Amino acid sequence: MNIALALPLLLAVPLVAVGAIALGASPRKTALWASWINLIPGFLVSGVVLRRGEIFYGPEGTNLREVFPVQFRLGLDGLSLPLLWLTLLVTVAAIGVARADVKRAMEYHICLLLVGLGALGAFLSLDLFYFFSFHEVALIPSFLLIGIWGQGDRTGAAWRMTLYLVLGSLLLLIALIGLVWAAPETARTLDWRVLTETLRAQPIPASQQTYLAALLIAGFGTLVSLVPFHSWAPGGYASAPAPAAMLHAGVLKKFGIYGLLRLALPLTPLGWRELSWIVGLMLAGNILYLGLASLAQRDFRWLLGFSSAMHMGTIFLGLISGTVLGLGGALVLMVGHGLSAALGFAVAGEVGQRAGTTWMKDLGGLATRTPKLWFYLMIAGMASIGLPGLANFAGEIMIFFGAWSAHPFLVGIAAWGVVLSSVAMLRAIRSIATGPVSSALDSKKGSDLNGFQEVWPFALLTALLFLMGLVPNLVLGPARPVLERLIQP
Amino acid sequence: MIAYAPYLILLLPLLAAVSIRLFLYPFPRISVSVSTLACLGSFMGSMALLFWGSSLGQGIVPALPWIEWGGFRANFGILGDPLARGMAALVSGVAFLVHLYSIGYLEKDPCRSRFFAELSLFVFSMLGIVLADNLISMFIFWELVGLSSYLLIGFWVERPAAGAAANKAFLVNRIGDFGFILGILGAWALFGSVTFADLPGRAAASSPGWAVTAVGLGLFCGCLGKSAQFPLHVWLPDSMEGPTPVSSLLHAATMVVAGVYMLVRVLPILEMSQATMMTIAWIGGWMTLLPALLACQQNDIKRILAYSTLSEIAYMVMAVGLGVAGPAMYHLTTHAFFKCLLFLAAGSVIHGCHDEQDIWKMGGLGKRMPFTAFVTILGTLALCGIPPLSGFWSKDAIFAATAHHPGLAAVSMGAGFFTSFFMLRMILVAFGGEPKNDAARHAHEGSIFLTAPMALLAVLTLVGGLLPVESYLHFQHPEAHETWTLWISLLVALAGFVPAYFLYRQATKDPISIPVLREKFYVDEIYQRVFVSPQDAFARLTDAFEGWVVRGFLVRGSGVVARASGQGLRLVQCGQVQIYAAVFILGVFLLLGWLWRQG
Repeated sequence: MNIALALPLLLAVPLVAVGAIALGASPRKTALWASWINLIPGFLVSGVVLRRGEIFYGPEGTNLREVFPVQFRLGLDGLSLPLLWLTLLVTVAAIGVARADVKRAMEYHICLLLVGLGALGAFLSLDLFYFFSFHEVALIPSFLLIGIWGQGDRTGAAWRMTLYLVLGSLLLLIALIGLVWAAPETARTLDWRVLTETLRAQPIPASQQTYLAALLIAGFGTLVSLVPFHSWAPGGYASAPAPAAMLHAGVLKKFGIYGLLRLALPLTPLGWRELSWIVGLMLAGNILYLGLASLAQRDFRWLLGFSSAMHMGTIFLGLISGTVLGLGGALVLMVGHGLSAALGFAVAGEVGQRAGTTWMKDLGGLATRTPKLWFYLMIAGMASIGLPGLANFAGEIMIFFGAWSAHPFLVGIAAWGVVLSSVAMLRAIRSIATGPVSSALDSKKGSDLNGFQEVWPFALLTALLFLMGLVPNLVLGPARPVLERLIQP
Repeated sequence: MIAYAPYLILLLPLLAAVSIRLFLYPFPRISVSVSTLACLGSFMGSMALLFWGSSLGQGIVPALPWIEWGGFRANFGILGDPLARGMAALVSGVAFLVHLYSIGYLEKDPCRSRFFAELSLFVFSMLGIVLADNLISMFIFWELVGLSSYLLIGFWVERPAAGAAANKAFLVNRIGDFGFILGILGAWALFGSVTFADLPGRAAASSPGWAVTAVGLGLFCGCLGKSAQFPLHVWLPDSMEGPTPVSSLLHAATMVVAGVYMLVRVLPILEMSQATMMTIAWIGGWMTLLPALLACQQNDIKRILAYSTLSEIAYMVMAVGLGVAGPAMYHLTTHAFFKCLLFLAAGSVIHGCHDEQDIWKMGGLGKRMPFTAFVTILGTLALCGIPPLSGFWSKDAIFAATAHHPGLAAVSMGAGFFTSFFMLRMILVAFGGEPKNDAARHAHEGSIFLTAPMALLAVLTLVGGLLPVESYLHFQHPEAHETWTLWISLLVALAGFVPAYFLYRQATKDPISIPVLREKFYVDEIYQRVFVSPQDAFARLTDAFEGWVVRGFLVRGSGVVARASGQGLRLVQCGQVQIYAAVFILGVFLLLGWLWRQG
């Protein structure tokens, strides 16, 4: 049997589950089983990547002229490997915290599976068409999840998110077409591997590179909530049901950074360098502006939304560092942020369930009343403020060291961002967890996480945060050759 | 064999913390034993290392790799020099005594599993700082120590004041760490290495003066936070909200002196810049005096001791600033003994008086708790530098270093006067006179777990001056020609007892009232007005801008967009986003088809 078949299998498993649920299988059970089973092909392809560095599935790349250009080609290398696992595991955890008694459970679980499926497809696709479309496949159900199952101003949030992300995707689409177009006529292809080779050999003229890089930064930047394209993010996450926020903030958002790493960095290096000061300004905006705004939040979900968007600034600092160290840090921080954001939103969801509110002033006494939930709240909080031992710190310290020689001021800003996010997060933890037990928590059935059934998704994410923090080489080892190739002149 | 002792020393408390957290939470008795035994194991390992580890130099112990990537190495190596070995023995020894004390102190607390898990986490991270062989791994343990301090200060989660104090401690430390990490980055850029063993060689190479000064000051920021020196000293008095064993171990004997230990480690960098050294010396110098003044008007027994801790650490900082690391580390050691003793005695008082901390509500404890009173007096004499107690020897060594700096000599010796004053005030008010309430009337000594550690520390306080510190601190006792500092400092310290005796011998309320001292020079209020409130106002402004201008006006404002939004809403509400999706995908296909034709 050809082991490369495991790649399409990764997409087929959730798809089959979607079909089964649509035909009437028990939604939660099916979705959960499917996301666990999907780890098996995940292991298979990872084995190959670890041994050989990469794995492909699908027909060989061909010229744009000869056949219909869109071809279903999948591939995985050391850079997409951690993102594959992030997607697989966060999907498992997100479906794990999803409630079985939610209204319209069938559609709900289908949407969740589709978000995970779309993210997987986007990280695996070699063909730019699928790369783009899979992301759209993931976006649409996330709008639905917010619009139908969300809370607060959910329609406003869903529509604002739709507007922003669709406009961002549009810019991205133009940029992608431009990239394909920039290749010499005979060598145009939608396979980004081949395209990278071609454009490496015959670089795009510098002036065009600047335009293309600008489009890519704006397009991908919107998806990553880079200031000033960010304002969909905090509200969107605040309104989203917990599993949707986990999947979107934890996984789908990383698509934008992945795209920049894959395409903008190697294909438009000159433009990227030209624009790095603008990106620097924007990421400083993420850190300082959103950091300050997060201090003023009074709803825990909003705070998580702002702080999640804020940390994208540090990842961008890794991207413009121009060193392998900084890029490696960005990759580790992507994974760390994905896990910690997912854990944070999961905790917020449980708090909301138990207290009926996430308004921080109305909460309190979580530590006394629900010690397990408190523990996971602390883990999520400490991870996001960069405490050593957890994944985010490993990424941040690498980014700081990697970017220090090129951008010492931005490193200073990012280090100050750590202080800002500590202020916001510790204040939140204090008002949620300490003090006397609040009436909100007391009046509802404010019991702790109950048994293995409810604890395991939290324990899973926590264990992964520790694993990545203590052994970042799990991510860095396979990614190293890929990242080195990215910034090769 | 001995090469693996450092791993044992570090891993035992870590294992204890993890296993308590994961498995032993519901069994407080087992947790307590596991944690205490782990600490005992660490102590025995440290002692073995101290006596037989001299063969361990740099690099004999294999480092644990963490990240090695693109010219950047962050590995956990172990430093086996005499300083690290001595400090490890000190930390684990004092920690073990405090473990024992905590068994008695928290006897009835249902959450003591959590307490001991956090205490073990602290021991692990503190020993990590001590044994780290480079600045990055030191920073990692530094942060973990900050976490355990935060957790332990906030141990009584249901008390709002504890939560506030814990947050303040963590955040002020983070501000210090901001400077610290920039200093580490700068040192890495300047010298190409942050391993302590490399520093003396690399630091000597020529670098721009301003950069070296900046790096030195950045590293000093870390010390300002952790060792609570001005302007980041505000968290330490508040941290007394934590359980008293915590105040004793973390906020007096070990954690707060980590800053001094770090400064000693990076001394080769600091010494390259005279400006850095003088800044450190003068901040230290003034910080000996100012907290001593504040302590004269405090009424909470733990806060009095906390201010005295600030002042004593400042002596060590000043000594580092004067370039004499030996006396600084010597005073660190003796201070750990007598200050830990004083805090445990204070804890014994608080325990005996049912959580009363105001000295004006105690009184007459000398008769009811004679042992506690005795060790308090012993600790006080050591603290004031009265011979032949341990504090005398170490303070004398520091004063000798100020012989050529009359300004520093004046402030630091002046501080001695006030130290004697407020310590005698505390003793007279709390232990002398008549009991002021029922709790004090029925006070009694605690169990053997409380008294035994105090007795051991009392012995160390007594004979600490005889410790063979010269061998592991590279340090000589001051020479004869500087004896004038000895006599003057001693006279000044003794003079401090006189007014305290006459003012407080029979006082039932404070005869002196100096609001500016009672209110701690209004530093908290000033920080609140100058930093916290404006930042919060600015944050609210930012949030309002974000909410009304960016989200509201830019997104909803324009008419076209508003109409589109109506459409979008309707689609979402009908659940017919499929249509939108179909249209969108169709558009993509059309574009691609066009692309293909063109091609």
